[in-house]
Amino acid sequence: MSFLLEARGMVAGYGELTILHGCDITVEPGRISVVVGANGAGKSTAMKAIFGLLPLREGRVEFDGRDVTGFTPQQLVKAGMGYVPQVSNVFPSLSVEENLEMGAFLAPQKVAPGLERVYGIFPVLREKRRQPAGQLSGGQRQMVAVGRALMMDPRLLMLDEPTAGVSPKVMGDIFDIIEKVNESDVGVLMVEQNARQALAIADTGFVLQTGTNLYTDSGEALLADPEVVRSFLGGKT
Amino acid sequence: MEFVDWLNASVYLFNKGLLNAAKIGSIYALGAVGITLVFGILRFAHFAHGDMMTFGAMVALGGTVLLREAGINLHPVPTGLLALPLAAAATILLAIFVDKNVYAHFRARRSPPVVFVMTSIGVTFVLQGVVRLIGGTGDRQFFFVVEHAGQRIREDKERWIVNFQWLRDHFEGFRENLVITAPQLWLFIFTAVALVCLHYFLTRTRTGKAMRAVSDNEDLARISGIDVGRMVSVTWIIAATLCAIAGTLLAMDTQYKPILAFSILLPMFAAAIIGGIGKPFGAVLGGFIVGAAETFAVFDWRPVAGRLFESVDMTQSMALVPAEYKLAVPFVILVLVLVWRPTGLFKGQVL
Amino acid sequence: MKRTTIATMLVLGLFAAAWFLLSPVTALLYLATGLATAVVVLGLNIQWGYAGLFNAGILGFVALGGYAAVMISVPSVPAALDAGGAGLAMALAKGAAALVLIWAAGKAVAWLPRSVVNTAQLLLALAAYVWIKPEFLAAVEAIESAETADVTMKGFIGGMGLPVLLGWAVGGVLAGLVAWFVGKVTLGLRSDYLAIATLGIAEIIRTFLQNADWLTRGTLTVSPIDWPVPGPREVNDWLAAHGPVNLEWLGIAADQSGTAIGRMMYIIVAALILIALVLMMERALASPWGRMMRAIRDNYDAAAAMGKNVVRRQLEVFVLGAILMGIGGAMLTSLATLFNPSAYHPPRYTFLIWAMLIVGGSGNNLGAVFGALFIYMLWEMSEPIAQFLFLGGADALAAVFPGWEPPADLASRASQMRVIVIGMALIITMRYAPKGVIPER
Repeated sequence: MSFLLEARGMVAGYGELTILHGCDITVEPGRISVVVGANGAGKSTAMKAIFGLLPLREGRVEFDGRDVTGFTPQQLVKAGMGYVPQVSNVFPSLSVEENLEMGAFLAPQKVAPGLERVYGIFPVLREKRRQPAGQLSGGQRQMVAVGRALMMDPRLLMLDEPTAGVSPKVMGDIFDIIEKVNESDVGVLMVEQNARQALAIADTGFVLQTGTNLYTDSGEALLADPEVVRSFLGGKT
Repeated sequence: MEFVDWLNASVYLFNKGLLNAAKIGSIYALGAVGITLVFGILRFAHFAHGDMMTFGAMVALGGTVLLREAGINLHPVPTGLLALPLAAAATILLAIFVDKNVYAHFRARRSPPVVFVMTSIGVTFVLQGVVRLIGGTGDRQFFFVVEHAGQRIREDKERWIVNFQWLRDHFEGFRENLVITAPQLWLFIFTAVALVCLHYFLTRTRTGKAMRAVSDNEDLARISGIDVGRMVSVTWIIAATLCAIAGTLLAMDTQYKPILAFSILLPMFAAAIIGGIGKPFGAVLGGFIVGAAETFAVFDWRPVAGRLFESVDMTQSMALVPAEYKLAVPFVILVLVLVWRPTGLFKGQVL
Repeated sequence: MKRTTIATMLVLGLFAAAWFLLSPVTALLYLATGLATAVVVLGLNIQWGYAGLFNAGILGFVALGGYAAVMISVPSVPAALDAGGAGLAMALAKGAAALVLIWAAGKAVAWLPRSVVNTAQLLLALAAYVWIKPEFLAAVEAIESAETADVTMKGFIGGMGLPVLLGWAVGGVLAGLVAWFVGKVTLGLRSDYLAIATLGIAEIIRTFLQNADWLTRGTLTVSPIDWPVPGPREVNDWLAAHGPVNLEWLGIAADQSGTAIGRMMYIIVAALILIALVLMMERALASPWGRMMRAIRDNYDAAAAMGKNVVRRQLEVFVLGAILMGIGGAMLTSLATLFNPSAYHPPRYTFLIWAMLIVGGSGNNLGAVFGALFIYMLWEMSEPIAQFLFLGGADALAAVFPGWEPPADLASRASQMRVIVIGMALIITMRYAPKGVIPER
């Protein structure tokens, strides 16, 4: 099986504290992978370690068949990864269009096609392109955040808890956004608190506990596993 | 009270009040833009900003002296302005040098803002010393007598008088003039050009937008592949250029002295904060607000009131605040703004 | 222990250098000034080292302390008081009454939106100012034009003619009172903003003292101001009457022994006050109050979340620090026997104090005292050293290039080297020893 992203045996942490103890994450080309787990299981840490925001102490990350271990975020963006942080993921005083332009800062020639593509996926952003991103609604702001990450035409989009702290309605919108992005053959790796909904759209699910993989299976299979449901999804199937 | 009294009073008010407010406001605006950019990108109150201005003025003064010695002048452009590119270049080099050798160390360490502020106080000390060491401790006139077309002309004595002939013809008793001096006019031109260029840069160019992005959200800017270190350098280049312009024009309007701009540091901070930290055009407006408040707080309204009403007691000053306390006005405004609306008029960042 | 040894040796070395290279009385003057300055630095250490408050308005409190020494110890000028004292008191009373009324009115209508109340209060204060101003100015005018018995004191309201030691204490009280108002307004602002706000308030205090000729004689300055012990002149008079004391075994010339003895007595008094204050501050630091202060400094949000009245505690510490600054300011003014409001420049009385604390070691009272003595002596000594080097260098250059002439103000330019030395000391400390020479324990 060939993977778009293959991270194996990741060990990472902050200072003295080790959070990941050899964890594996993979994404197949054009598919959705979802990482779930309790608070403090190391979900976001795994994401940051893959994207070069946190140094890996051990382990190896391959992207598109290339060893990208130790790459900086800039290098990874150039290699074809897009990353949407959990909080403050837009430039509030920049207009929507300027936000998107910043997504393709490394490759100015990609700005025009990128804008067309993002506006194609999110037509509402075209209407609001002159408005400061800080003035948009929560859902639209997430569109800008995702749009910014899509500007370089990445092969993999990484989302860190995109639904954290939003209303249920917006949450639905966000899952729609993600499926829409995925339709254009972009692989998606996302960390989610709302495990049930996230696993429902996942091709592969990773359940983490204390920095190691507990279960790895298709989203459907995990949702059907009574053990997973009891420990991580809270109660009945 | 007749209409012509109103005309006389308003031209007087414009001439003696608004023009002065606009003049000092321009200087504050140029300085405050630099302060707010540094605040926005580097996230600290740059205490050495005033002395960077003085440094620029000092280099311009040196350049002016050299040009005069060489007999070069482009009358009617004041010789001081010819030295401006040199001053800007020197101030940029200074800013980049200080950044690379002092602030970069703390930036790499992600030190808290207080450390930067303290260090910038150290830089202030050193700059004050350097400026006095090189430029001398005394006051210096910026203007010289130039030879032009066989005539000897004192550069700073040039002025334009608008006498409103049409109004004189149509309203009997109209007798006010509008007087603009050469340094004032150059100041307004430079301020306008600098601010238009800055606006174009920040909203239309890739680097300018990236700078605003760093100011908005540094982490996201990094993730987007923006080289924050380069943006810091660009910030210093802009701030230093504006410092050189403002310092030189301020010195040309008054005279060069070693405390030239340290003494206006606080009004410039006030302007930057009033405008909202990280908002360059807020800072411009803040600069003009502070300039106007300062001018009109000590403005003696007698001549205006006297032109309008017969019953004005002309023996007592009608200024709100005695002129000695002019310097206190920006501080009062600053404290009021800090207490009532710390984000400034344009909802800037709160550090 | 090792660091304190090094620190002591540095100070002693500079003191010895001043003693032998300049003169013993100069070294004594540096020591006396250093000790008085140490009281100010101690005050800053309480604000910054204990509580993390970035006060950039030290100068204002030092100047207020200096003025208090004038107010208490200078002889009164009865004619001026008779002419304008009553009017002045009336105007001030009206002003105070107006402020209290405006404050009470604001409390009474606290249910209105804050911005409305604040704006209304501001407008009312402005109206009160315009209403009371003429009365105040008339009283000032009366004071300034009163015919005084001593012509040199014309236009000056005078002091109270009380012992200067009381003035030192009042200096602390006056600075503390003003600090209470300043703190009420500015505490709660974040560090950079607090710095800018306090810097501005200090400028207002300075501008006022500098321009209120009736109160401070402005640029005319007030002198002499007493010492709590017999000053050099009194000692010299005493020696003239009772026969000289031979201090030549200390290397002190006969005609300087009076000055030396006077300064030594001042040093003893200053040292005793400083030691008492350090001991008090050490006890405060070790108390639950001191622990809470450091908790607030290290984690403001956590302390606030734990239900501590953070702003209240910070106000206490701000006032306490300002009291020490006021006492130190009064001690400095006494020592100089001169109150010159124009001499209070931010570089000298705010930023130099900061350099002393940072280099010495913030959070550590011994560090603060060391920093004050060390940096003050460095500040004073870098001037003669730079003069020596510059003038010597100019002579050498002139010898090599006969046509070259040094700038006329070379001496005054050379004296600027000390600003550079202190600035570099600050930058280097921040970079290589951010905790200072004697770090916090």
